[in-house]
Amino acid sequence: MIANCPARAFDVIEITNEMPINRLGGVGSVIDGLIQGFHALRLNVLWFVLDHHYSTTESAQLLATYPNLAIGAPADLQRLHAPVAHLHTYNHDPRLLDCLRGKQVVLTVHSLLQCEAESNGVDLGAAVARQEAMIRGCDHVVLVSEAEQRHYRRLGYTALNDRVSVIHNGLACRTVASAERPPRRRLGFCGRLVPRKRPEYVQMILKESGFEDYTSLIAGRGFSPYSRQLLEDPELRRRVRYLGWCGGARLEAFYHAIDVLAIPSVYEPFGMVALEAMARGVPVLCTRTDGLVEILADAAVYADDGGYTSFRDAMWRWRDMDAHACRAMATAARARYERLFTATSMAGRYRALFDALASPGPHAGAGRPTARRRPNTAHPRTTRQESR
Amino acid sequence: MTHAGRTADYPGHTRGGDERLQRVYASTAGTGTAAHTAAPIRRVTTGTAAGLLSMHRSTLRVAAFWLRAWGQIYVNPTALDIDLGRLAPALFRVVVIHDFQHEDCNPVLDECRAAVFLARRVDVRWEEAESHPLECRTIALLGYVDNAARTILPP
Repeated sequence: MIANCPARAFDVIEITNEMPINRLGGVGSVIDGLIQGFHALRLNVLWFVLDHHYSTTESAQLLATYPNLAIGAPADLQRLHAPVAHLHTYNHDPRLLDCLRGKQVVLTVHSLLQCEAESNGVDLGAAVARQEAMIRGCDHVVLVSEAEQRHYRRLGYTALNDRVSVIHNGLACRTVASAERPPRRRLGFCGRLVPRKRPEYVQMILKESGFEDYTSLIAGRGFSPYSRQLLEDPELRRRVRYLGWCGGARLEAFYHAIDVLAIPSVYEPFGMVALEAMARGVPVLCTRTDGLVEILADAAVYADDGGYTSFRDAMWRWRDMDAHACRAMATAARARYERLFTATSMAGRYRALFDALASPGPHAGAGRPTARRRPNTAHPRTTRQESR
Repeated sequence: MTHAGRTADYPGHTRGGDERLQRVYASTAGTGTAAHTAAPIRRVTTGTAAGLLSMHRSTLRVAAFWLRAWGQIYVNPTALDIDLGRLAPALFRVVVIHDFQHEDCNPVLDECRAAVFLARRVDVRWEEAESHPLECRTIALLGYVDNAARTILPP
């Protein structure tokens, strides 16, 4: 283990495979928010990085940038003390839980992999089984939206673990939202380029009447043969720019450059990109689904379903909005972010949960076995069938 | 300086490289300052990119470049050295790719992070970078490397 602090006892150990540097996805942004939020709340946190993808140079950068950071293996956790260990990763081996004995283990499920598999049309069987084993073996599960909790119930996961809370994500946004956004005739998409996020829609819309003088900026990772096929159209190749996986100043430049952020996803457990746009005063157009509705409420233009026709109709509605109404919608979204989804508000909700779990009150102990359940790697298909 | 990419772009997928290194993805991203910063970055287009390759014993060097294509600029800021000794003795196609794998923090949106992909011929077709779990887009062909004869062939 490499650590940049001598202490071995903390209020909480945050265990992640992704930090805000060279992120893999939205989890890195959530960690960024927790770092800011817990710092504001003066919580003594160790950031423990394992099962990571960082190069030696990046690991050194992490250690130089973030106080109270350790990079190590699961066994190292046995030498560290905290009442609560908080897990964020998708890749953990459930045997990790054996190294966390004596600590209350909170698992935040950033997305349910069974839903990812269903919405993307891919087989994630092994990863789904690993996530289910982690859900079964931890003390408490956090889901990032009420919608995600409905999916959790639909999948029969309450039989795996019924100690569940919903804590919405928060964002540490250092950008001051600009009141005036001159029209640039640019549409934006930001996210992984996977089927469930429908990145092709912001390309297809360019061929529709009314969008002849628009271009699209696509920020995200996971370029595929399908994406390449779309760009075989010479007109789209000229009008669509792929920016790659944007972070830091490039992400800011992206949000500054677009008129609207389109999120045509058919499954979105939370929607960090929506929050990023809200915080920067960028109007959002999205599918009326899952976490997006909880975050945005009335402050978005909605497509009624995940089909292209609904998306196109919503784009026409957005295009036909007058500038004042569009600005009012973005201002309302920004206010909603400030009221409900800041880094500090997220950190406060997590601290309340940690306090409840760490104290021997009725909440912590109710219905919970005295010893943590052993992780069971068996896929709970039976459970799901029973629940139907 | 060479490494294989991730297996898939879905959360939960295990990462891993190609054990036999039948293909290579090379990028300076995440490696810090590279050893070959002295040479100037060469400005090329898709039609003039072939001269970026050179061979030094068993090492294929791809010069630093600034490549304009499709209204964007693809930048490889330092030379890349690829150890051909780790590759199969076969013919490889060397292509510039847009690196979607590493986070890019460059605020100049016209500039994109470039990397290099060495593809093998399988049956009658060349492997395509987009079909492998590398998270990238093919931008330009630089040439071919015959790793049995250790020679560079033009596109």
